[in-house]
Parts: sequence; structure tokens; C-alpha cells
Amino acid sequence: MTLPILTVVDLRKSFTLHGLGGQVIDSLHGVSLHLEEGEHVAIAGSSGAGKSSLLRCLIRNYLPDAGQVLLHSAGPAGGETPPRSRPAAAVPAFAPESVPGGATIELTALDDRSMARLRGREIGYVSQFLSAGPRNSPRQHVLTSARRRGLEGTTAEQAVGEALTGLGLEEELWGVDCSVLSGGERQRVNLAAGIVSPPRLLLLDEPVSALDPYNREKALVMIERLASQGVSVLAVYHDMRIIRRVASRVLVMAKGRIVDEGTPGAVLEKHHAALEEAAA
Amino acid sequence: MSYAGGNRGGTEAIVAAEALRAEQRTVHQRTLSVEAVLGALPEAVDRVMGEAGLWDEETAAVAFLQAAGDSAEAVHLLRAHRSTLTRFAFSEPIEPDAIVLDRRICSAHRSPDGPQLLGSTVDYSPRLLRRSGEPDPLPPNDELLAAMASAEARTSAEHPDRTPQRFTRYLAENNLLSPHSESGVDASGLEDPEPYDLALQPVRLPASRSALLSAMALAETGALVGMWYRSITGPDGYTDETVTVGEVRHGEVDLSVRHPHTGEALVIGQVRMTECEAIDHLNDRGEDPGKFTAGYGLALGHNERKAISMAALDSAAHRIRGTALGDEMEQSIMLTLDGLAANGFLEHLKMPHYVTFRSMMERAEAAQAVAVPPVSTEDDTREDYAE
Amino acid sequence: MSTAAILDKLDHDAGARQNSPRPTVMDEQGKREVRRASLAAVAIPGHQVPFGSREMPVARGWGSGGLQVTLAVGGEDDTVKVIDQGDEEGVNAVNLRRLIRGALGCAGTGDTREATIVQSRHRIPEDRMRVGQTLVLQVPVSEPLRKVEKSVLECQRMHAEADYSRIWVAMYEELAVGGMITTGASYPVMVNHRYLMAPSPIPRWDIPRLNHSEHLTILCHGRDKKIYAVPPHTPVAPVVFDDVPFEVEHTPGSRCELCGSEDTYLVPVQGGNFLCSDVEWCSRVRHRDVDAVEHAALAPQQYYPDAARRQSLRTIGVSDPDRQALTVGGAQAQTALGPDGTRQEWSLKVSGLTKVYPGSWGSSEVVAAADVSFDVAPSEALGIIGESGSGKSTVMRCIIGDETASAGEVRLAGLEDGRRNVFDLDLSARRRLRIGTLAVVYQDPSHGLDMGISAGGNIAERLTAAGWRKYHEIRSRAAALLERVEVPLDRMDDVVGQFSGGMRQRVQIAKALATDPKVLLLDEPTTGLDASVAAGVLDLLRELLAERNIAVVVVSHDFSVVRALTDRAMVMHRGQVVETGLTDQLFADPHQAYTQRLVAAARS
Repeated sequence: MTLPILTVVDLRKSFTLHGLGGQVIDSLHGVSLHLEEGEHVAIAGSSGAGKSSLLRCLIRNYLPDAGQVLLHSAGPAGGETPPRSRPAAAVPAFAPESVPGGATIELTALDDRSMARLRGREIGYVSQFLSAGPRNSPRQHVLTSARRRGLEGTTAEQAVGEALTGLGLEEELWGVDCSVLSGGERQRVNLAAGIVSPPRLLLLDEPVSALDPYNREKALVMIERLASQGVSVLAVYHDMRIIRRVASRVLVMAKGRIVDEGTPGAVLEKHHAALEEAAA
Repeated sequence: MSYAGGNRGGTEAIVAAEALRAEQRTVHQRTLSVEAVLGALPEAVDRVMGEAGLWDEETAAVAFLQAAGDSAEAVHLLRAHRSTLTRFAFSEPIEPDAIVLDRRICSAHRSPDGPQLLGSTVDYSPRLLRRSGEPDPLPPNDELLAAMASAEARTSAEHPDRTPQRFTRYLAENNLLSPHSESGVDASGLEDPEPYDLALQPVRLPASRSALLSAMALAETGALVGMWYRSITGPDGYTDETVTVGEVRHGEVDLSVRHPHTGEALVIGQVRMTECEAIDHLNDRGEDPGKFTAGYGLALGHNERKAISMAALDSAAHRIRGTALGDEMEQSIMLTLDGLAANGFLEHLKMPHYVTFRSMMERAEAAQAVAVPPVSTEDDTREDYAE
Repeated sequence: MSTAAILDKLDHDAGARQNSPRPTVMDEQGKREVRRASLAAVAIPGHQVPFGSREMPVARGWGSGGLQVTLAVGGEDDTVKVIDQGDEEGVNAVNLRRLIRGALGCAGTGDTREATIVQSRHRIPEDRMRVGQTLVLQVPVSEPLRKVEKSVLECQRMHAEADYSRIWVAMYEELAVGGMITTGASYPVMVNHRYLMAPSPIPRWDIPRLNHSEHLTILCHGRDKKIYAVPPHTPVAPVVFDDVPFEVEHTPGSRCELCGSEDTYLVPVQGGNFLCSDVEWCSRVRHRDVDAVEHAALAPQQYYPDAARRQSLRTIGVSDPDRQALTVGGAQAQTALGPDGTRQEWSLKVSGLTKVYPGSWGSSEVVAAADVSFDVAPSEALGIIGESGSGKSTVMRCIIGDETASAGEVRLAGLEDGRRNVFDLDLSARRRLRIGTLAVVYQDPSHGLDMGISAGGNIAERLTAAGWRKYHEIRSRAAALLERVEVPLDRMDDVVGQFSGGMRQRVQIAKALATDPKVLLLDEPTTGLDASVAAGVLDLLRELLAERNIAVVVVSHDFSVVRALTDRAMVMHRGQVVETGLTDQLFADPHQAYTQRLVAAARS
């Protein structure tokens, strides 16, 4: 039995550029989608189609203008909930697991504080760019993420080690400043912070774009493993081969709308020419 | 059996010191009369009376003589004498505009109301030493005589026999005087209904304006001038050099007290005083540049240096009231200007201090005895904290 | 006594005065004033009572204060003993005695037992003073705080609020830097557990004699015009850490070469020998006219210095419990109680904060902050972004208490569970909040630190203000904090003024966290530091905040600082909050024209 985890209804987003005489740029024109637990859904589309904007609206890196983002809690039957050993008792945070039979949260209506708490713990987001401070080490950066998700002490250290090892980051780099890392190394640190003790829903924006084939393979193995852990993934990839390999379903976006969806085989065949051109 | 203290050593030394001092005076007090002091050294006597806060020319002259011309010592004698006197009455506020002028200068105006009365002063005289019997080293030449003659012709107009308008009134009439200066009210908001008498009351901070004025009026003249000058050239910057003297006056005013039974004010005598108004333009940030403010200075007797520096500092104190700098300045005025306090404390260093010094020495020896261990930064020094 | 009898007596006194002309040193009004001040001083032990000190025939600094007290409280029936350095033969003692006896017409004595009044400079007699006797001590410096604070107003405030942490810090510094307390005479004491007092300067040897004494002690500073007193049976304790012994002056093996005493205050003489400073006692010992057993019990032998006990004072180390306490201490969150008794989310709540600067000539009214509201929860950081003049710092200063808000409320969970508006507190209560409830890190470290004392001393200041009284605990906690903020421990005892900007800021952060405050305000914490140094401090702050359940407000003009430290943020412009949101959202998707300009500037 599958359980719904995310429903997006008619999401809209535009930008008003005051510095350019109030020029309005439309980004999302009413996006609706649905995601089930353990599903790995890829978003395809040419650049400017609104793929990244969609992910950012979901995590509220962009503030949507209209529409709904409904996050469904697993409920009692949902099984695995990550341990919450962080002193959450003092923090009356968003706690859907406490609601019998599950609950639904409308994210666009959530206040900033609750959204900030929910981020990382319930929804993870891995951007193309590393957000670590320049003097932070990879270990420190990933550890902060693990702690945010409730891991403590040696358990946290262990999970950090596994994530960094799994992504092929040499151990001698774990303690250096992130500022000295190469682009590919940074992307792996970023991904490690996203997948360590993963939340129920992960949003990935081009997570392996800067990786060489060898490390890309390692990263994909880690990403594939997420589905088996019951983590739902909504991801943007440029590379159609990756979509075919990891996704169970594909959404095709163009000009701020979802124009098609289906299994990777069927959909990618149909839009092959346009998508390959965009990826090139 | 009770302990009979000796103390002969101390007594003998003191008596001997007093005898030696008397012996060394070649001209004894009795040959140099009080009248001679008053006649020859009036400025010194005035200064001593002002710093002592006691108006009695004869007594001050006696003190000056007894102190062998050491004005700090003379002030001390007068102050100690003042402590022996019972206060029978407090005088009524003097009326400065009823002054009988001896001298009046207004630097702020070319032709103020009333005369510019130079009076008795050395302000414009060359400071050349002139020994007894020697001729004037700079006799008036033809040019000077001619100038004097023409000036006399020009200014022969007589001035009416009234006190000239003071410069602050002139500013007020032209709507140029700040409301604070016009009312004389303490802008700090401190209650100041009665003048604060530092002879009877301790210094308290924050101090009212009358307390600040009182401290400056009693101040050691050099200390007050030093503070004013320091604030111009030193690191404090309480005031600046743009102050202008609106009035400097020297003259005599009546002093009156209320009769204990009839309640009538009765004139009991006169004092001479020096008065000053220092004018400041309110051109600092947050001030009203359309106005001037006036600081006030008053010294007993003839002491223009004190009156002028006092007025300039009064103005500055008012302008920086309530700021950190203002608080510092108040403390400096109230606590550092009294000559008796400063000189006394300085001289007390001559007294024996061997008990306290012994205490320090013991610490110095103890410090040598402490085997100072090299600073350890190792983590594992917990044994040291076991207790 | 009947009126007639009083008049008779007055006549008689006046007649007696005329018959034997005594010098009048002080008029009756002045004496009455000194007596009144003395009574006030007795009523509030250790408190400095200002009085209209009169000028005396002796100079200021030469006993004019003591003289006024003796003349005011003494009379013909008294027997007065005057000593200086314990010696009645000193010239100053002789001079004062001559004046006192002449002015009062009283008897003099060298024998402490016969004296009703003992006027002294620098000593308390070796012999025990008893019920009914009055000791008058001459004082050269009456303000015990003078050595740590030069401002009279600030000293007054410290006495009023019993805020003596600076004295404790001075003690800490002496111990940390020199391995011992170097204060000789004039050692500060606490009187009746309330007022810090300068004990004239008597040597440390004499201080235990003030404690629960049978006699009355009046101390008077003529120059500074202050009287204070230690009434009989009042506790007087030297300022000393619980775990560092108080030491009196003592040289092992020393003895008086005249009387052989070993348990008296001895002063050195020629040839390395010692003499009793108390000449009377010395003479009476020689005439076997003393109670040696009682005196031995009175001598402060338990305070003889012991170099062995001083050994560990300079060591620096961090204990594991202290290290752990740093994070454990941060684990307890604190939130306010709502009107219905339920726990609220916030630790700090600001509502409708408004600050208006009234207009003056040539300038109109300025609204520096208009109706600013926000709250912050434990383990949450809120940013306030804006350019200079936007009002962000005004908001911060109003919360801290450095400025007075025109309207609004500030509530803290740590203050009466959030039911009290901080703005309703007086200044002293607001300063107390800063000790353990509301910590601040200023842009300029010199606002949060004393540049003239060590890094450890700065932290000790906060800890002693919070009531810590054990030297080793203070030192160990300070070391743990400095280690946590990555200040090398071998610099712990260095004066902060010699530190680099980044290091000073780390010390300031350590001090702010010393008492585990539940709310922390950071005012431009990295502005003014070099870019690389600022990055290091930012990383440190990020870690420290992540470790703690502390509610944080970060004020900065720098978007990157707010991005690094906060989850949520407000944008201020001309006193108004123009936009709020998640910090990364404000940066990625700014809506207001002003915010867009800020972001564009930050990206360029």
C-alpha cells in the first residue's frame, strides 16, 4: 500500500523586478503534482521551464504567489519515523506523527518559524550550490545536518562517516575548510548533508551535475538507496540516462507548466528531441 | 598600673620647628603692618579671600602675613578660622546691577551701553621691571600724547550715573539669548532653589548649577585657569576658544541680611567682587544656532582670571550636561579644584607611612617567595583543582 | 533637666569658656552636623555618608576628618588617646592631641584601657577595645572602588546596587597574574554583608579586629567629606574568594627587639630587626601589664601567610566537567508562560517597539523605529537586516537598555515567565538582566569588554556578578569558555587590549555565554573584522548557536552575516519593518524594492 506524501495544487510564482521598472517575470503558471511514499519522481524540461523554481517554492526558498503545497504525514501506519532525540520536548514544533491517522499540513500557510523547523527534518533540499560556510569542514557541515535531524553523539558521527565515504570523499578532506574543495567535492559534501539520516521527502536540484563519471556512479548508488529507505524524492536532472536509471516517474515541464508525465521510458521517448537539445 | 605615654619626642620637635620658623623671619609681622599689606598687596589679599570664601580684608591680611606670603597656607588659615565662627545669618542675594563700578569691559561690543571703563589694570601696560627710583622706561612719546589728546576730545561725553546694561540683556532684547540663560534655570532639571553652600554641605554628584558655581568660586585660581586651559588644549575638550567676554566688571556691592525680628533687609556692609559673562554661540549639533548662551563667573575681590575661566567653564558645563563628558567635567569641577583639599592631600605624603609601607613590603617579600610556576596549558591539570 | 537648669549650665559653660580661653576649632552647628552624619553612618554600617566637612587647623589629609569626629562626639569628660602608626609620640599624633585637648578641655592618655575615644591613623590598638569605647580612624581615601572605577557617579551606582563584581575581578586578576593578592593595607572589606568599605588604611593585620567588635568605629574622610562607621557586633569580612585564604602581614621568626612579642604588628627597624608598631602595648608587655593569653587569641594567627597554599593559583587547565557543562548548560530551553498558564513558544518577545527622537531646531522629528514586533524561540535565530540609519540598531539598543524606547513592550521568558514588560523595570533591574538573562555581543569589543584586564578576568567579571565566589571554579569555567571559542589558553591572562580584533570578539562571545543566558543579542558581530577573520568568527558563532537552545537576534547590515547565522529575518528601512521571511527566501526571492536593492548590493 502506498501513502501520499506530497500534493501540490495550482502553484503559481512570478517575480516583480523593482529595479527594472517593475517588470514581472512569470515562473510557474499553475503546477499541480502528487508524490507517494518511496517514489522517485524526476522533473525534466529545458532550462527556464521552471524546474528549479518549483523545488524552491516547495521548500520556500521562493515564496509562492498562489496555490497549495500539502505535506501529508505518515500517520501510525506509515511505519518508520526518524528518531527525534533532539530536545524537541521544549520546542512545540510541527509534529505530525503525534496526530492519529496522520495529518496534512498546508506549507504555504505555515508561519516562518514552523517552516524553518520543518525544513531539514521533514523535507530535505539539496541545491546545486554548497551552502557551507567557507571555514566549515565537510565533517562539520554534514554533522550539523545530521544533528538537525535528531542524531547525536557517535551515532551522528557514524552516519556522517557513512555518507561521506559512500560519496567517495577521501577521509583526509573531511577536516579541511570547505573553501579549498573543488566543485565536484563540494557537490558531494552538499549531497552528503542532504542524504545523511534522510527526511521523508528530499528535493534534489541537479545533485550530480558537477561529478566525474566515477563519482557520479557512487552518488547514484546512494540516491537509489533512498527509495529503499522509504524516502520520497523529487529531483531535477539534466541527464536523461540518469532519469531512466533512478526515476519511477517523470514530470515534463515547459514554460512554467507540467506538460506531460509518465514512466521514464514512455515520456522520454516522446519528448526525446526537445529534452536532448535542452540537455546538450 | 596604667601606661604613661611618653610623647615628649614629638612635642619637642614641633615646638622646635615653630621656634625655628619664627627665628628665620627677618621682618616680623609686627614691623610689617596689616595696613601695609592691604595697601601694597591688595591683589594677593583678594585672591586669598576668594579662595577661602571669607570676606574680611584685615583678617585675610593677617593670615597672609602669618603664612609668609604663601597663599595656599593663608587660605588654609582663613578656612580654619571660618570653621570657628557661628553662622548668625545668611545674606540676601546681592544685586549685581547695583554695583558701584571700578572697572567694566565688554569685549563683545564696540560701543556697548555705558562706558568701557578700563579702571585700574596692567592689561595694557608693558611688563617691564622698574626698580625703585628708576625713571619710566617707556615714557609717552609725541605720537602717543597726540593720540591721547584727540581721544579725550572725542570721548569727553559724560555717561549718566547708572549701571550700564549688561551684555546678556542686550542679547535678550535682540532675541539672541537662549531661554536657559535668560531664566538662569538649571537646565539639568535638578532642583536648585537655594544656592548650594560648599562650606556647609558635602559635594554631591550630580551637582546643581549653583554647586558647580560655588565650587568654582572657591577654587584655587591656578587650578581653575588650568582646567579651563586644559579643556582648550588638552584631551578633554569641554569648551573651545570661541568664547567671547560679554562683561568683566569689578566694583563694590552692598550686602544685606534680614533682620531676625522685623524681617527687613538691612545693609551690613560692602564686598568687592569681579563678575564675568562669557558668551558662547550655540552652534553644536542639536543646539539652536539662532541663540547664544551665557556662562557666569563671580569671584570675591579683584580676580579677573578666576571670574573669566569660571564663566567659560560654566557655559561649557551647561552645554555638555547629561553626556558622559559632562559627567566627567562635573566630577572634575566639584572634586579637583579645591586648593585646600589638593594641597593638604599632597603634603600629607610627608607624614610617616611606615605601617602601611610595611604592609606593602611584606607583600613584596611574599611575592618573591612565591615560586611562580610556568603557565601550564595542558589539559590534564585537574589534580590542581582537586580541592 | 529643667529649662532653668539648662540655662544655668549654659551660663556656667559660657563663663568657664571666658575664664579659660579655649581655642574654638569648630562651631557648634558644624559639630552637630558631624554627630548627625555619624548617627546616619552607624545606622547603615559601611555606607559612606556625605557631610559638610569643615576646614580644620590641620590640613586636609592630615586628620581633618578624624579631628572633626573627635571634636564633635567628644567633651570635657572624655579621655582621648591619639596615635599615628600605633605611636602616640609621632609628630602628627602630638599635634592632633594638642588641638583636641585644647579644644575639648578633656584628659589625654596613652593607655587604651583608660581612653573613651581613640583617634588613630593606620592602626587599631593591639589591646582589645571594649564596650563603650569609640575608635576614630582618619581616612585618606574613602572610596574602596576608586582603584577600579574613577567615575564618582558610577561608584555611587555600584554601591547602590551592591554591584561589586569589579572588585572581585581585581582580586581575580591579582591572583591570576601574580599568584597572590598584592593589595597591602587598605584592603577592601564587606560590612554587614552589604557595603564595600575602605578600612582607612589599617594593615590587613587589624582587619579581623573590626569584625564583630565590641567598640564603635567611626571613619572620617575630611577632604572627601564622608563619614562611615562600623557599629559594635557588625560582621566585617575582607573581600576574598572562598577557596583562597586571606593573609595578614607576618614574617616567620620575627619578634619585637624590645619586648619580645611575636604576635603583634611588627615594623622593621635598622639592622633587620623589628619593633612593635603599638608603642603602648610594647611598653606594657615589658612591664607585664598585659593579658597575653587574651591577646594571643586576638592575634590573627590563622591568617598567617602560607606560600605553599598559593602554588596552584596561576595554573590554567580545563576539566572535563567544565567542558561538558558548556553544552549541557545550553540544553535547557526557557519559554514564557501565557496568560492561561500554557507554555509559549518564545524566549524573547518584542511588541510595538517605537522610538521617536523629538525634533529640535533645524531638524524634524525622527522615527527611528516604528511599531517593531517579533518574537524568538529557543534554538532559533532571527536576523534584522538594514543599512545604517534603518533603525535596526535602535531596536537593539532599546532591548538592551542602552536607549529608552518611546513605546512598546519587551518580554523575556527569563523575567517572571514573560509576564513583566522589561521597559517597566528601573535601570538597575535592567542591568541585572544583563548578567544572566540577556547577553549582548557588541560590534565594538570595547563596549562589552574591559580592555585593561585579562581575557579570564573579563569572564570572571560576568561570573562574579552572577555570584560565583570560588577562584578555582571561576578560572576553570573561564578556561573552558576560552577554549571553546578557540582563544589559546596561554593568552588567558593577557590583557585583552593586546589582542587582535578577531580574538577580542571571541573573548566577548565567551563572556556573553559565560552564564548560559537564554537570549543572546548579536550587534554586527563581525563588522570591522578582516574578511578571513570575520569568516572564522561567523563559523564559531554558527557552531555555538547550533549547540545551544538559545534564542538569538542578529543585527547586521551584512546579508552574508544574517544568512550564515539565522533562520528567519526582518528587513528594516527608515524605522519600518518592510519585509519578513525565511532568511534564504529573503535573499533568493526578495519582494520589496528595498530588499531587492540590498540583495543586489550583497551579490555584487
